[in-house]
Order: sequence, then C-alpha cells, then structure tokens
Amino acid sequence: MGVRSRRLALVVLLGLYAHSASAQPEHAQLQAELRLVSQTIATRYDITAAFTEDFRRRLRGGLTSRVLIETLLLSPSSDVLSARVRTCELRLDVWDDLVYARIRDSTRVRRHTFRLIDDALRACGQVDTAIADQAMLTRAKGYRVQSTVSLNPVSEELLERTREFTANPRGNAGGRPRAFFGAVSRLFRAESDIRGTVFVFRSAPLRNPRERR
Amino acid sequence: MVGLVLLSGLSLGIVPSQGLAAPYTLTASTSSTADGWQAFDAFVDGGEPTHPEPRPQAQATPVFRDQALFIEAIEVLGNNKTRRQTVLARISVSIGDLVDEEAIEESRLRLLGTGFFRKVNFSLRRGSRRGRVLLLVEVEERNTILVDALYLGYSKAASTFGGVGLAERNFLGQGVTVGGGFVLGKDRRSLQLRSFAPSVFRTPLQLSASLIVLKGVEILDPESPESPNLFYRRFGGTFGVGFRVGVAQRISLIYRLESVRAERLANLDPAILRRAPSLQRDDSLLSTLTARFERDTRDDPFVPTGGNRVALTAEVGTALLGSTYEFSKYSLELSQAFLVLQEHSLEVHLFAGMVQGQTPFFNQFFVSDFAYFAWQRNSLARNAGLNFSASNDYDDLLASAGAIYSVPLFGGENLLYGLWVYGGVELSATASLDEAQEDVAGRGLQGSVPLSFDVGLKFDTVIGNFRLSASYILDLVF
Repeated sequence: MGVRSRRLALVVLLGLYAHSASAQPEHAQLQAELRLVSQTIATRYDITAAFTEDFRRRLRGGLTSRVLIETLLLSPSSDVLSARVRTCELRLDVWDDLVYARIRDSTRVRRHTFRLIDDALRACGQVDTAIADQAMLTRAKGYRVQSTVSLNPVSEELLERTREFTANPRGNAGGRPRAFFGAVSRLFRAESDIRGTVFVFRSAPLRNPRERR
Repeated sequence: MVGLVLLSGLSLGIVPSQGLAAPYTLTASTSSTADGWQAFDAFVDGGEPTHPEPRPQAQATPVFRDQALFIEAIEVLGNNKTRRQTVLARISVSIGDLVDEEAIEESRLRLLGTGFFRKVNFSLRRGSRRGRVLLLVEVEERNTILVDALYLGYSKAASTFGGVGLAERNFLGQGVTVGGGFVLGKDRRSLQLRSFAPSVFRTPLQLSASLIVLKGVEILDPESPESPNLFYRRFGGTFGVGFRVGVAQRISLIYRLESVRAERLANLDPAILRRAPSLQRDDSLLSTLTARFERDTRDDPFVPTGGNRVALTAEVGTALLGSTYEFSKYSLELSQAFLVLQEHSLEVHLFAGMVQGQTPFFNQFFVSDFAYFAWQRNSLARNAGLNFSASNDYDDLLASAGAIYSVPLFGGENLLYGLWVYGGVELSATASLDEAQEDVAGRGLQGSVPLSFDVGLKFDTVIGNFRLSASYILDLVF
C-alpha cells in the first residue's frame, strides 16, 4: 500500500469519524420564559406536544402512565445553575372513565381528576415552576431552559431482571470474520423500544428577568 | 425514598434554599377526592432522579397493589404466527389475579426480549361486572427468520467456496430456534442443523441439540500439492441442557457424540507425518461431556456499549463415555464493552484455552479463528468447521486479546437499522503442549504470535447482522 493510498484511507476514516461525531441529535426548540416572582426566578413552558400517540394509547388502556420532566436552568456558558423535577402519574379508570393524575413537583404533590385525557396531559405538560433564586443570575441575558421529558421510563433494575440471555445460542461470541462478508445472529432487543421515549427540549437564549425591570 | 432524599440533598447543594418554592404557587385547580383515589394512593412511590446525572433514572412503574381489579380473562391479539401459549408463557399474571402493574410491565419487557415482536402493548377493558377487567395483550410480530451465517471466499487451497446459515427463531410459533447451514468447496462440505428451546414448560430449563455432517481435507505439505492429504469425515451431534441461574447467567451441560473416519496415510515422509493434524486413522469415536458457565450482561452482542461477557468451559473426553480420545479442554472468554464519546462502542476481549491429552485436530485451537489480517500469515478462519487454507497449525494452548472499536454512521427504522464502521486489533499466541514437552523437532512454544488488524462495516438489518471485513480480503490478496 503506497503512501498516497494510506493517506487517502486516513482521510476517509477521519471523515467518517467526523461525520459520526457531528451526528448528535439536536435539541428541539422549547418555548419557555423566565419571570421574576417575589425573590425567585420562575420558568413556564408547555411540552404537551411531546406526548406521543403510543403514550396516549397506553393511557387509554387503563394502566398507569408515568412522565418524568427534568427542568434545567443553564447559564450563558451552558453550565447547569439549577434543576427541578416533575413526575406525573396518570391512570384512566376503565369503569368510571375518569383520569386520575398525581403530579409531584419538587416540594409538593397535587392530585387531579379529569374527564378528558387531553386535560390530564395538559396539566402534566404545562410546567410553571420556580427554578432559581434571583441572586444566581448575574448576567443580563443568555440563559436557557432545558427540559428532558421521559415517557414511561423503565428502571435499570427492571431491565436487568427481564433480560433474556443475549448470547448467541450457538455459543459463538463473535471472533474474527469467517468470510469477507460474514453474519452473526443475535437476539433482538431494541433498547430504544423498551426504555421508553425521551425528548430533550432547549429554549433560545433568554434575558435575565431582573434586568428587564 | 432513597432517591427522593438524594434529590433533595443535591438540589439543596445546587440551588440556595432560601424559601425558594414556598412563596410560589401554581394556579391549577385541585379536585376533590374521588373514589378512585383509594386505588391511586396504592401507588408505590418511586424515587426522583438525581441531578446532575445526565439522564433521569426511573424507578419501577407505579403499582396498584391493593386495587380491587381482578383479571377475568387474558386476550392475545396480533399473534398471527406465534402461538397463544408462547405469549402466555412469558406473562407473569394469570386469570383470577389482581391487576399488578409491575408484573404487567415485567411481562411486556419479557415479551419484547424474545425478539418475536416489534411492539407489545398491555391494556385493560371492562369485565363482566365492576371490579373485573379483561387484560388485552396486543403484539406486533416481526421477522424472525435470520441469516445467521454467510460464507463466501476464495483460497489457493480450495478455490471458491461459499455457504449460508439460516435460523428461524420462532419455529412454528413455539418460541423455539431451529437453524441450519451449509458450506461447499473443493473436496469439502459441511452441513449443520441445530435447535434451541430457551424455556421449557415455563421453567429456567433450556434444551439444545445439533447435528453435523462434514467431509473435509487437511493439506499436509503446502510445498508439494501432489503429496497425499488427510481426508476425513465427521458425523454426529450434541444434546445440551441449560439452566438459567440468575440474571443473564446460564449453566449448560452438553453431551457430544461424533463418529470420525480418517483415511490412512501411507508412504508419507515421517517428518510430514509427525506434523500432521492429530486424528486417529480409520474409525474413531468422539464422546465428550462439556460444562459451561456463561454470564452475558452486554446491552447488544453485535455493537455493545456496556456490560460484559464471561464464559468458562470445560470439555472432557474419556473412555468411560466410549470415546477413543481421552482429553480435557478448558477455555475462558472475557469481554467488556464501553460507551465512548456518547455513541461509539469499544469492546475489549480476552480468550485463553488449553487442551490436555489427545483430541481431534478440529477440536484444537486454530489461531486464524481468532486473528484478523496479519502480514504473510496466509491462513483463513475455519468456516462451519472446515479449513479452506493450506495451513493446519492446530495447537493446544491459545491466548488471544484484542479490541474492536465501532463508530455509528447511520441509523434507520426500516430495512437497515444501523450501519457502523469498525476497526479491530488482535494479538494472539498459540503453542502445542505435546511439541513443547515431547517433540524437540516440533514448533514448540514458537507456534504463532500474529498481531493482526481489521477494518470493515457492520450492518444491522431486518434479516440479520452482517459484517463486511477488509481483513478477509487482505488475507486473500497477500
């Protein structure tokens, strides 16, 4: 293999690597605002659109659905200034056709009963929470709100407990290729199908509400 | 509860707690207590995720432990091919049970883990009277016929050869794997059939069986193609019993019985004869018992990004079992996977093995089965038990260690689920116990120590996982 060929191979590999590195998913846009309430900074946004059809279908099925919403306040340099977590537990009673919702924020738990599933989802997806003390925001602008929404997440412990034996039943752990175009078998278990759906939203840079006054 | 405490602690550490949330109230209305709240209160409180972990970790799905909802019937929908009993065998709740949401979620994951289904949904419907419900299990089946072996190659010793292996992972909808494959080449052919039942009668018991019919040849003197070669035949199979003994762990006992026939080698140079692969001439019997322990926690055997695999194997051939060959064979496999740069896969692995006594050459270690492309090594990995190269350096000792790094290029949802480019490096060493200890003219401990490399592509498709290897092409060219 000549020097030119080796350089070409190196360039191709670096190109593939760069392509892979740049293939990170971008955050979806979040319409959020920062407000000053008393001495605290509050944020308000709506992620109701993140509830997928599969999620709604499960909710309609009468089994408990769970939502985990993590709210982060990011500094202009993308450092995490503070975090808040909301969990929503929703269940449709198949006999009464009522949706029971328990929404737990950092400091309190609220219970609601709804006749419409959409109303329950709205109560869960509309986040309005205190996020930081005003003293923590020292810059005039550039703050972002990031929200990570996990729909029916599954615990690692449950995943471990239910996993099938993933080794090839032939006992072949892989090894070198047996031919220039080889194949190996495996058990299917698309982790993305199992772990639940996760969305990450991030707002545009926001002004410090204290500065706006 | 622990999670909640952790959250509180970390939150206080990050956010000054000067009455932050106390003066702040939301305007949403809170309903009055309804009857259903009694059931709702039976939720098992899950902990909260802890920051600054990048991804919230969920606790178990909420459960209605005391909810007075009885399962009146279980209905399975969408199972066009899979038998109802195969689905029910993986469901942890039964008719007459209280609705247990954790058990239902566990059942959903078990069904998805079989690989028979693309989607699994559980839901409740009103039963014949209040307090009774129907449990609906809706499944969306997926293709379970896979190409699990694909051979296509060329060598100076055997010209062009090829073959294929297919496996049906849900045979007749029973959840049993049945597969087979063949390889054809000059003077060589191999047919293998196998079956694997991952769960017998809803127990941790597993059964496996295999059959092999093989006709092969080993080249004794690569410098002189006209000289006699070793022609042999194998016919036999295995029967195994496995037990799942914990999370991702299995203990297996496998009985192996093979009839071996090898042609006599007449008028051969004694030096060549001494280096010939180990095999009893005429008819012989290979009868062995294998014990194996495996633990596999990798998230994916094809492109793992976490977890590890351990396999310990001991095989014994003895006259007590009627075997012509008396030997013991031990092997250790270790691999550990890592997630690098968010979505790259790094897997490091180690294989070590030893054979004590006399075993057929096809049961010894062949260094090319473990090494990638190495300069002027000139041998290929065996395909379905057949050696298509002129090399026959079978050895009793093996140590091999290496790493594979995979970088994702593409991810899809239809025919092609994923595409990766990978690079691998392997350092292997083999030696023969007999030659080292008894035969000073043999290769002894200088057996073979190739440092080998590979680059290629990995494909995850609807019909299986494939690997396009540059090392194999380089082996053929150089």
